[in-house]
Amino acid sequence: MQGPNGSGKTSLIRILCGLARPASGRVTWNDTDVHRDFVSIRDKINYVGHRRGVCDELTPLENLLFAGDLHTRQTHNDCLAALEKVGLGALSNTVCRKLSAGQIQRAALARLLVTDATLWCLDEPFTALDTQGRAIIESMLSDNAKNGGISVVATHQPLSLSGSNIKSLNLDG
Amino acid sequence: MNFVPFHKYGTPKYFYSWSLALRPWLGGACVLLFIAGLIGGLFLAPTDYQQGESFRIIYVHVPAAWMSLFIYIVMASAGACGLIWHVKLADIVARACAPLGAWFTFLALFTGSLWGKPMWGTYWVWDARLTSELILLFLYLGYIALQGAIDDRRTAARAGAILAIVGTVNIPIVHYSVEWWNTLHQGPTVSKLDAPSMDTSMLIPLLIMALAYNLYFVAVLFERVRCEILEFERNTNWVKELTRDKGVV
Amino acid sequence: MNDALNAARAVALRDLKRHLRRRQDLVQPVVFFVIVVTLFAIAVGPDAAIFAKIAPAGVWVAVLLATTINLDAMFLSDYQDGTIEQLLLSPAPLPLLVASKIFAHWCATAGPQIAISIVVAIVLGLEGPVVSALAATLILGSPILSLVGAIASALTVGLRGGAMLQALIILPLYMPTLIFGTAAMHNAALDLPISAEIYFLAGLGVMAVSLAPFAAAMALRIRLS
Repeated sequence: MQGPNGSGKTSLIRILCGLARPASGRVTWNDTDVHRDFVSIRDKINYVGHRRGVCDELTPLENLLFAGDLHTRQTHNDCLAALEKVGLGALSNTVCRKLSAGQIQRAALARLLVTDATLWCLDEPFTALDTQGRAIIESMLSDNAKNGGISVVATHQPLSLSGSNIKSLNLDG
Repeated sequence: MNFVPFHKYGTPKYFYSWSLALRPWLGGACVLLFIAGLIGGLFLAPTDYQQGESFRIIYVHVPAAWMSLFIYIVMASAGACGLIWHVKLADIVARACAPLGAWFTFLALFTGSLWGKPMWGTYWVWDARLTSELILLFLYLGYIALQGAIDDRRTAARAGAILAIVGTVNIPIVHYSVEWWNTLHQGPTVSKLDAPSMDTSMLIPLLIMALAYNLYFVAVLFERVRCEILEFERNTNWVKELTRDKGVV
Repeated sequence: MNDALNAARAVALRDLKRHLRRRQDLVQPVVFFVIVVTLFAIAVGPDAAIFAKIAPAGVWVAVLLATTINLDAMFLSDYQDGTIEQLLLSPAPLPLLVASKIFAHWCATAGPQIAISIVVAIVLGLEGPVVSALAATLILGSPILSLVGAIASALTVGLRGGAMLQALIILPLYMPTLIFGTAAMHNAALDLPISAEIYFLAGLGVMAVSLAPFAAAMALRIRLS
């Protein structure tokens, strides 16, 4: 999803993942109304927004274990593996207050690997990431698509994903 | 029963036109009742043997106190309607009620205080009824502050509805405080089930004044709601046509 | 069901961990409480008899103010770092998670608060029955303050004018608890029974426990929509 600042990308993503209500109309996914039957599909949605959902006082590992607990129980090793995948293996026990913005962003996106969610709603996931980080996230998005999931991504930058079905939506101001 | 036509009259657009049509009737009836009530209360009702002439402030004080409780219930109910059934007009009505309710509460407290000085010898006493009425004033002010702090009107209305519903706990406390605690404030004179403890000649002007206050509330509420509707719906065609006709860009 | 309880426990443990890692946040309300009591003492002046009469009220008001100022800690940092949104999207029922947060906040703040209040009451020279009335009403009243405070905190989280607005909303809702708490202490000073006030506080507590988490959860949903 692309568009200039203020075009409503964030609002649209929040409506799609069930946080906000639309003024009119419905959102359905797999024939389930997202707002009316939210309870049945909550565990399939994952959201990483502007406020990333990473607590400064905890370590990335603790943040992931908490995210796992909120959805379905994940083991210690699963969380460590997720952190390795996003390149934070060595920093998994450092308090997030001491990490850079890019590292915190990676920790937030590691959450996507720790739940069973297949619908990913990402609002500007590439902010603060270096080229290596971008590559990791793009490979995660491709993997999600291969596993039959959907990723809704709002971004300024063009994506380069191999072999997946990319639909582009342009929002006017 | 066919609900569809009834539902139409609850939409902001239709509410705007039919409430505008009612305005002269409401205003006229209100003025007439005020005049009748004030003449009845200030001149025709006999002098109280215990309090003399100063009891006449009852005709301003008691209806104001009744209104302060009634408006809060209207506000909380409208808020609940907006919250549960997403009725837009209910949100607008709740928001518009709050300043009116606050002013009636203040009026009740102020006139009560003026009455307290000759009757009890003091402007204020911290008994159950006065304290709970003061808490009611603070609840109104908190509600107004909350609505003002949230920019999006819809979110503000829903947040305010929760606050109003939580504060409803205070209403029975205000009403029954004179029965549950030993207070300086006198007991209830007009109750739903018993015969009133006040003489008819004094009671009639009181009821007329209560009706007048109610009509005033309804008339002014409708005015405020109409203004809010124009605010809420400013992007719709019918509002644009209306304002264009009146020469407002 | 198991998952829901698991999530609730995770929320509580996480909050407690956060409180422990910022220990100065636990100490500041206690210091604030002592400062307010000191202000009271300075304002009343040197007359010991008058002060002895007002001290119980002063202690309760100081408890209220310290609790009100501390309410931010419940939701504000979670709102700012986006955790509230994660809670909203979790399959576990939100009122349960909110109740868990309130419980963690109460554990971290009420314990020191009650302890310091009793110490201050003894230091100020209040008599035995009054101090035990204070302890009893605080133990019953502090959950009510946390629960009702959570509603106001959830309604105003992240708004401009936040702390003042929160105080303006919460203090009228705190007044019944204050009325019964101080009535109990006044009765205790006169050697009268305080069972009526204790029952009322217990009743308010039951109402708060059963209703406040739902109201606070709805308020959070509204604020983040």
